[in-house]
Amino acid sequence: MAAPVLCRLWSGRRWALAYINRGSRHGAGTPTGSRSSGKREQSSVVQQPLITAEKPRKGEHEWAAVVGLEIHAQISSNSKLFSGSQVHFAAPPNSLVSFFDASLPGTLPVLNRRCVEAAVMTGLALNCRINKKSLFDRKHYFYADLPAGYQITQQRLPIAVNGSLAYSVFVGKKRSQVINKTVRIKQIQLEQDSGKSLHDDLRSQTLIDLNRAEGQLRVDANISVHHPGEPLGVRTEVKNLNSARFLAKAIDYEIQRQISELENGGEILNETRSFDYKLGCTVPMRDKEGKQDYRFIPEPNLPPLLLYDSASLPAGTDPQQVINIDRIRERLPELPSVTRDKLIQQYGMLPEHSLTLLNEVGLLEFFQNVIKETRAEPKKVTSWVLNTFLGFLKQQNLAVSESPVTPSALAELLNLLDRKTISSSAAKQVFAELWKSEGKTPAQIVSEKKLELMQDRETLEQLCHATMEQHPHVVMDMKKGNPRAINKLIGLVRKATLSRADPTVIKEILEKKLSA
Amino acid sequence: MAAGTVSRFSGLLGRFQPQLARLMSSGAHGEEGSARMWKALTYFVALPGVAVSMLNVFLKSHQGEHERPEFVAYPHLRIRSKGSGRITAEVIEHLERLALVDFGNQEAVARLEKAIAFADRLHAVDTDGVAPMESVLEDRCLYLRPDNVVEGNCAEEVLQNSHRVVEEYFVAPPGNIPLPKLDEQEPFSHG
Repeated sequence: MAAPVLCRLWSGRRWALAYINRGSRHGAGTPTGSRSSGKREQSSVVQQPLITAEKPRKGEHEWAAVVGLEIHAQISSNSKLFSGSQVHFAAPPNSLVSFFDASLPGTLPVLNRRCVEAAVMTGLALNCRINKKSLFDRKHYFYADLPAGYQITQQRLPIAVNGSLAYSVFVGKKRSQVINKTVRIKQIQLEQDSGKSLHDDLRSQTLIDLNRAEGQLRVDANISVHHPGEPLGVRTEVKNLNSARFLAKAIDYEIQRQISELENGGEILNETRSFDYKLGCTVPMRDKEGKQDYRFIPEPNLPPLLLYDSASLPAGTDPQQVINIDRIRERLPELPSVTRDKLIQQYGMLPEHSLTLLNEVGLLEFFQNVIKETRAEPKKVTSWVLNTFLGFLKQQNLAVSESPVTPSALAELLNLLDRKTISSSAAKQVFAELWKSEGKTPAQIVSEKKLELMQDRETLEQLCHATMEQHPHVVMDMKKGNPRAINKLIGLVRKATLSRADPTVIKEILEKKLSA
Repeated sequence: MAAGTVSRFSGLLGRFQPQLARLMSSGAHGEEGSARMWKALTYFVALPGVAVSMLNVFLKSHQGEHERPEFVAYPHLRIRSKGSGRITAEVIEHLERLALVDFGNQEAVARLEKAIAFADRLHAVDTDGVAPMESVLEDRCLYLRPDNVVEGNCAEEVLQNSHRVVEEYFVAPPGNIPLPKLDEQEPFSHG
């Protein structure tokens, strides 16, 4: 019973078969860390995009798939949703369990204010309508990690409904094309989480730890197919998906499986399936029999949850006991889409670059620190951060926080480049040296390795002249108008200068000499 | 307000008691006397009492006025067994699995049917246009607890109740133990 989990999203009816952005932080950027145990909190989120199948089978008219995602996200709070036990990962088993969490008789749930605020923040960030009155219900089922025999949830009237999330997807061969999509969010609800079960097959027993369930972010997919215009088909639920990549695979597989099954005259059972990672297919789950009847009833120990806004706030109330939606809206941090727009406006960045910047933890901050300290153009900075810097990070599988190159170092390097003290290839060399983190500054490395660009134009002109004399046949080719010849000559000059000359300047000098 | 009314009432009575006593003791006056008594009671006790009660209701009705939002029903409401109130074997089996109760014999099933029939009498009340209550608590304030850690850290106590414990874990069977199927049970007629 972990931290509060977020809501259910149902998305609209279009979904391209492409990646959902990996690693995107959920909602308003609140870290999904803690879960309250005993009565953890969850809000489950369900997205329901519609997929139009890629390849319609021969002879059949089109199939349309409908996918709904149920997302459970643990709320970051100090204590649990309904009890005052601590929320902390990796604690000794059952050490964060109060009497209520153990479902001892006579204990009652007491709602955590922070969790309600988190749910409202999430609802606002996802453009939902916040229900000023929401209700708690009991969902009954038997399992060893649910000692009460029911889970307190918000099935009938959840805290937020009817939201949307706009996101972008990279498509195309080099994933360079960006398309923007919107997904509908059906509802966001607060609910308890269950405990953790460790299956000991050897001794045929299960060990139960009621601290919290595993997984700060979990998702189940509901999939059905139908012909457009006809009623929706029977849906199956696929559980046990723990990454965006496998989620996509599982959904793709299940859609094709359902289409094949129906086209061969079979029928789809309303069942729960699990995803087999090795085989890459969905399989029916063993001990799920038919449709579960959860016997929902109102939670008798919790009155309705009332929220207010500034207009409806009753006078003279204890501020600790009321939640003002408008106040929470004011406290929302800047949402990623707003940040991305600002980047695009301010720095003339391409949308896909802004996406990459925000998708990597700490990268935006790094970028902004570099910009602060350098006079180089933002486009140059963007290119260096997203290509060179990020490239090095990914190669060694490092996070931004583990980078051996500091923003100041990169800023200094870019300044050198900007002043044309060094060429761009030299700059890359310097960067590689910086990565080795031997404590040297870019300027030091440049002088050590003598990478400064040749500033003396006369010397350069002499070198060009000398090279031209040494390679008369290339000069002849150039005069004939062979474009490749000049590049060859530039290369030769560069070698002669030990890569310390700016290629554009070389080209300019050579062309001048030729025309002379 | 009700309390105030009562005390006012008895106050009124108190004032009139000596007069009443006088009126009643002079039974010699016969009908005339008792008619006067009743008149006095009417004007000085009954009518003011009614006026006060009406005032009470009027004021109260303006106090707790709030809008009732739309009622959201559970999908499983108003499921009825077929017609006669008898419950089928399938429903019994379903209930036994869901709630882990054991309707061991026909008598238990009959008791269940009687309980449902008893509750069905609620339908005699016309609730057209009346929004149902969510729960008897619906007008109470839901207390919001501050996000502080104040309990937990009592694994030993919590584990005390467990039949079996392994290294501070509760021990449970490997999964839900499946109930025997209907035809495997002792047969008894559901009627």
